Amino acid sequence: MSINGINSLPPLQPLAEVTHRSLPDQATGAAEASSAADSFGGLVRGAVEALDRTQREAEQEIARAVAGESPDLHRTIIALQTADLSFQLALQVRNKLIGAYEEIMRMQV
Amino acid sequence: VRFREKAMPLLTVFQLSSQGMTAQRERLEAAASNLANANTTRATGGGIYRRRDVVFETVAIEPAPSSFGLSGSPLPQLATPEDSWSSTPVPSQGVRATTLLAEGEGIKRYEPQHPDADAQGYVTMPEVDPLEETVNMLSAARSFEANATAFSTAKEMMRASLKLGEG
Repeated sequence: MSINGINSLPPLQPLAEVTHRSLPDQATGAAEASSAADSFGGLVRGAVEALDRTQREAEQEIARAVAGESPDLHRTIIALQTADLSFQLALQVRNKLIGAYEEIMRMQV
Repeated sequence: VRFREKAMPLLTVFQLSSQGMTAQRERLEAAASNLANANTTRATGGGIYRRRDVVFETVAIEPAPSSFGLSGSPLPQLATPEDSWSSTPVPSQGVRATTLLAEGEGIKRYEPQHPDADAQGYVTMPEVDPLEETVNMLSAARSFEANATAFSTAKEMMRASLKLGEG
């Protein structure tokens, strides 16, 4: 008696390929038509980039303050607070997204 | 913050408060410089020490499109007598301080023993009124505090908004 090797199983298809094929043509057309900024991915990317920018600005301000280049201490603190608030906002958005995803995954099919 | 010229609408208050605090810092700097040189009789490059005066001017703050890929939030609108709900957006105005050098010949004081006295025994002193500078200093400190309070309030409001999403 022989056992089939695991390799004989069909290889996993990339997810994108599957969704692409299973979606009706109209839906893919609509998805492509929407610009990158309007898409969900674009939205997330924009948010992450904005977050990254505030973090980098805060870093630069701290470096300037420590180097003694900045005469305004409040600007450093404001940069820090801005970075913190932006991060909190991103965190909230992320929490909501993960929550919605988990909710969907729990659904009985 | 080397705030980008165009701030996120969300952070306009931060930028305004930051500019206000910077302006008050410059004002305090001018007052401190004047007080330090109240009795100065020799200035670099000859002549006398010239009093520093600080003037404030408005700076336009242009709201940038939101970086979240959505259209920016509408600007607050001010009511006018003619049209109680004017549709013209009224952008916030930032502030910038510029330090000017006061013109003037200085005050001549009769002090013949002073090393810098002229042939007639007069010493030229800067036109600095310590009392006035002290008042400026206090005013700058209070205005700085007011700006800091505005910043804290904006921060608290944002924190309260973020709390709405909890739970």
